[in-house]
Amino acid sequence: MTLSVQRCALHPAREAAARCPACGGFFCRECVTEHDGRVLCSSCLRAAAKRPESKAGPWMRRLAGASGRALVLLASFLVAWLAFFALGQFLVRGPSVVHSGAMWGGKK
Amino acid sequence: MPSVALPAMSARRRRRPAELDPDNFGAAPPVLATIEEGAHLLRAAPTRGWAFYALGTVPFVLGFLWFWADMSRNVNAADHVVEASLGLALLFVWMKAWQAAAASEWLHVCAGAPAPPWTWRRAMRTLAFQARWQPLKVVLLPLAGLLNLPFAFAAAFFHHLSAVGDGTQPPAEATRRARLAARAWTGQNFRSLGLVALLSAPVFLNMFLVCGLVPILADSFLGTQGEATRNAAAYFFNTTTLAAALALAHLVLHPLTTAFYVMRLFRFESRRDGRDLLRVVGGEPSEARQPGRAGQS
Repeated sequence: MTLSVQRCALHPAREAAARCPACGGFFCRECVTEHDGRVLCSSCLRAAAKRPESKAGPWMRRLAGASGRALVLLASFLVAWLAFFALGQFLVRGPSVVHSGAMWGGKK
Repeated sequence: MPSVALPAMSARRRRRPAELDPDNFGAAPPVLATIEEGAHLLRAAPTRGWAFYALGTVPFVLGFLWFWADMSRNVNAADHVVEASLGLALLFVWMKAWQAAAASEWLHVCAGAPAPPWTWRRAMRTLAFQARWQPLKVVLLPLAGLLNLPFAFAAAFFHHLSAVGDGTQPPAEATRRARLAARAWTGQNFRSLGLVALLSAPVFLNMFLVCGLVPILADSFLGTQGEATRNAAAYFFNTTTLAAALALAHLVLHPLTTAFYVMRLFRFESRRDGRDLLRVVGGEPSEARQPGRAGQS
């Protein structure tokens, strides 16, 4: 059902103006508030306000994020290193008659 | 035969976000026109972009040829294969970072907008982003080629990553842009790759003949005798000559492929933000800086 035919969950006499993205309920414009880039109803806003902040300080979070990114970067680089290493091994172990072109009638 | 509705499929399509729906991508620009625009973009691009490209690509190609020749000819190569492959991997990341800088410059040429200045911070961000994604290309692209179907997506994704991962936006946003553009116009993507593959055969043959004939001509005109004149068959068909021809063919074709994908990204994103129209409305730069002039959305 579209927003235009909905009524506010707290004020049935009023038309709904927004839908809370957290609980999915319809509310009039006086029952919703913008919070952190989202339009929330009062109960979801209370719940969001009560949610405890992460115990880690901002610098700890930054450090964790940076080390995570560094690990991904390292893992990605290892993939390339291993691939080139495998190519090197393949070339080292390849028969010299192929590498030197001797198999086509030339000298070794 | 009457069409039968497939409820499961249509439900899945409805759930897909609008930006991922192929119906919203619009018709793909013709392959040949986009390749032509890419070639024009390369001609119109300022020297700075080309310098960035060369600064990254030439050292890698030289390193790759040294690696190939050393590993295939040196009897002691097994002793230093770890160090040599590490060096080649570093050169690869170096190349990809510079190629990203070049692709970013070319994308700004398409939009007719001045490229943001290169700061130390932006350069480090570009290097970190490319170092995070591009090494995976070495494994994922051949794997996608084996599986066939995802190859076009993978090729486009890594090329688009080069153009958008220039340190001007958060990594998640750059990845999202590259993924979205890579998903678009699959048929056009496959056709363009087929065309590049078709083109690569004569280019490779050409380079192979150049590699083989230059020493022979040098012997004829200058009297310099070498491996090529003493033993032509072995010289022509040793794997180092083949690798050199392959590397030269890559140097010829890769800028064109990059420019094609830059144009493709530009065309795709213009469908959403009207960037190509904005360029026209906001005052035209000189005629020479108009690679995407034909077929604006």
